[in-house]
Amino acid sequence: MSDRSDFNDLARVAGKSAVAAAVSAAVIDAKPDSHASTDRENVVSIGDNWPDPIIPGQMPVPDLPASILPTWVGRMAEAVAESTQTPPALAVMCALSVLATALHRRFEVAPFGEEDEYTEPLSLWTLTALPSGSRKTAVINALAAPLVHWEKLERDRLRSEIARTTTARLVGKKRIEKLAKDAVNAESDEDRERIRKLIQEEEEAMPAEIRAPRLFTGDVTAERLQALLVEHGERMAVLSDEAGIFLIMAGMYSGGMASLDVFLQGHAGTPMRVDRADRCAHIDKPALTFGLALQPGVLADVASSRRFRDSGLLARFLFAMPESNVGKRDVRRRWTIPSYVKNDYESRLHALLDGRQQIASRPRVIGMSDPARELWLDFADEIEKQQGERGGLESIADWSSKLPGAAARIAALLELAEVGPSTEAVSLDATAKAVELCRLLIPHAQAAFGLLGGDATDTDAAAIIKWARDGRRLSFSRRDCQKAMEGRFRSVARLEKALERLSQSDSARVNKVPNKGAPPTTMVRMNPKLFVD
Amino acid sequence: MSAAHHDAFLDALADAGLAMHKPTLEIDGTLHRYRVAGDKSGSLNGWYVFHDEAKPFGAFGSWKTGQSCTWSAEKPERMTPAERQAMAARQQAARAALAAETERVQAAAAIRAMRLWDRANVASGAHPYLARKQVQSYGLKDLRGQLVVPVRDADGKLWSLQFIGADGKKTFLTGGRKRGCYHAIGRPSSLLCVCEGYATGATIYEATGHATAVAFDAGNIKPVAVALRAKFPALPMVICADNDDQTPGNPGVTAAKDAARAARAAVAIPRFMEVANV
Repeated sequence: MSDRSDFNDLARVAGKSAVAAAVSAAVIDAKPDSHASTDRENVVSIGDNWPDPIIPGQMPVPDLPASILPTWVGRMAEAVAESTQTPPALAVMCALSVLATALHRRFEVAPFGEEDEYTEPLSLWTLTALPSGSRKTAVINALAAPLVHWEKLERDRLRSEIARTTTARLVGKKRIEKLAKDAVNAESDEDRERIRKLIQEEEEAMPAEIRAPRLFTGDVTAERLQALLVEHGERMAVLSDEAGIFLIMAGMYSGGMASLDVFLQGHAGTPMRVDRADRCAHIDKPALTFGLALQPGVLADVASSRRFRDSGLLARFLFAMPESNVGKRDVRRRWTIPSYVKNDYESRLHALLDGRQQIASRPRVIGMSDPARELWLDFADEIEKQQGERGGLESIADWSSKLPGAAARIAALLELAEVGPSTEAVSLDATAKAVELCRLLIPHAQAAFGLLGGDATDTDAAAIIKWARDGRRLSFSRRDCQKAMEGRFRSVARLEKALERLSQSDSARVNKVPNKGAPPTTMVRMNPKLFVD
Repeated sequence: MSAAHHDAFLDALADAGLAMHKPTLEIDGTLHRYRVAGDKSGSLNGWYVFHDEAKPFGAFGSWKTGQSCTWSAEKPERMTPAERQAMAARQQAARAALAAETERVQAAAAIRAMRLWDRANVASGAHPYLARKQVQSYGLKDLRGQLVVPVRDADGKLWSLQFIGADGKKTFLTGGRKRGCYHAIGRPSSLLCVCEGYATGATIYEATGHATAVAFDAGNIKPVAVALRAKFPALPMVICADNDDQTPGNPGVTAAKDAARAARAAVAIPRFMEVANV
């Protein structure tokens, strides 16, 4: 349950001036129109004082401030957003994915303590929806640049070693081939046994394959992703502003039947076993992070894939649906990211990547401090209570049920970013910021699921608006509405939920009109502003 | 009473969203209170009266939501005129008895309230609740560490008291009248605000300088607004709602809008989404 509801909360959040402004605005809104009839004084009021309706599925969303991120990441995210004139939400989400790319698989967070069995991996899936031309590529490139640089440094450092082992392996393989032929043509069993021992020695002496490390990829199939996970220490990230990977996940290129297991297991960190004729992959703790920035149209297209929605993949993404700056940007303004901000970001990120090449069999588990755990539990409890029947999150319960886990993951990422890999426990400060961010992400998710058609109540509410508009019905009874749309509303309960959503979004008002000797009639009055073309 | 009637009455409670936490009926024609399923432990927000006649009937409702419903085993239209008349007379008698009993209990509570109010000391702004809410004390008293908020009607008569603990827990004097009563902060001049809780009222008063009436809860907003409209027919009024948008039906905003319609007032709603956008 939200702890913000009254004017005392508003004063503490936004100051007493916000309270005074809200009260003044209400008085101004309620003042009778000077052109109205004189009877108007008797009917003042809020009855005629309709606010702008929020059309279901088009709810406004808060921005995600860069100040939520740790100092050096926050400064960079803010600078990138400022420089590219993009909403901060895009940079914040990308920066979180970059942090997860650096830290996933190496660490896990255990909210109930390091000895507890419940742990959350630090993989994070973020998806920001912005229209084409809103500089998504520039933001991703700026924030992922240190990862690219690190890959290059590692590639250079390992170049001679890779060349040496590759040559040694090549020679070893050729020699084994030759020995195998010799063994086949051997004249005696003694000779064959001697050659077989030589092959065994050669196999044992062959150095392990060394690959230049890869931190992330852009466009990849599910099958190739499995191989990448095997080759690069059971971890991989997909940072992309192209729709390819998302469409692959939705099965757009495979008749709606994409193999989703690799994605699902990569998010949860559950063991992956693939034994197919053409490939084998055994991964004990896969870690897969996504940092996607896509066009809203792609999201809407994906809505056509029922299997994708039902698979739970969408529920694993943290969505950001910021308002685009396109059309409001100052083309004359050129602001470059200060070099000290960029350098600090790169050096701190590289410091986090130190030691990444030592692949441990298990990630290091970080617990939560007692106050941090309490705060996290309060948040989890708050979310849980909203997921029940008629709760605010009922329609996206599959997504919100994963939100406390995501909050724990983000808290650990923020803590590690601030303190470094030696951190002992997730602090209250990091947890408070993670919880604050997750609270802000809720309306974004509601907007995303509205776009995806995943929120059935929004779809129902939109259908009522369409029905009312088509027939110019400003006022009607619940019974008439159900009768007219009985194909959709077979139960009153479903209709009531849709009407409640309309009421919450100021699109309609519902009240009961008493009838003498009979049950009251539930009447719906639509917001007249919905009927203005 | 047959088991079928018993079950039918319980079903009617459930249909109205007022199912009993532990379904047990006292069949003695007097008013009983009960814990509604889903309400917190110890609460007695539901009430019912059950008359066990040849054709049983009863009434039930909730103090919390303000619902009030009647129930009869047989639909009134199927009763004979004589039966209908008898049932109406009994219900009227039950209502009168309830009203008389309520009046007696409230009068006793008012005397108790006055005694406690006289005994209490003037509250300072240092009380933990006020400090946490960052508001001053306006007409409050302190009784053994608890803030005491007077509950008065539009004529200024003290009917009851609200107690607020250091932890913010609020209780009322048992049996005290609350409906239509409020705590006034400031003197009305150009505008009158009505809100639910004391901290909210003090905040609004401090922010706007307008007199504010604290109605104590959502269910009492409308009676208070109507009482104040009768007292100040020409004064502009704003109902300052609690935005309980995480609660199904948003009872704070719903009650405020209802009160605004009844009292020809405007509604102000705190919007936190906009704050997040700043």
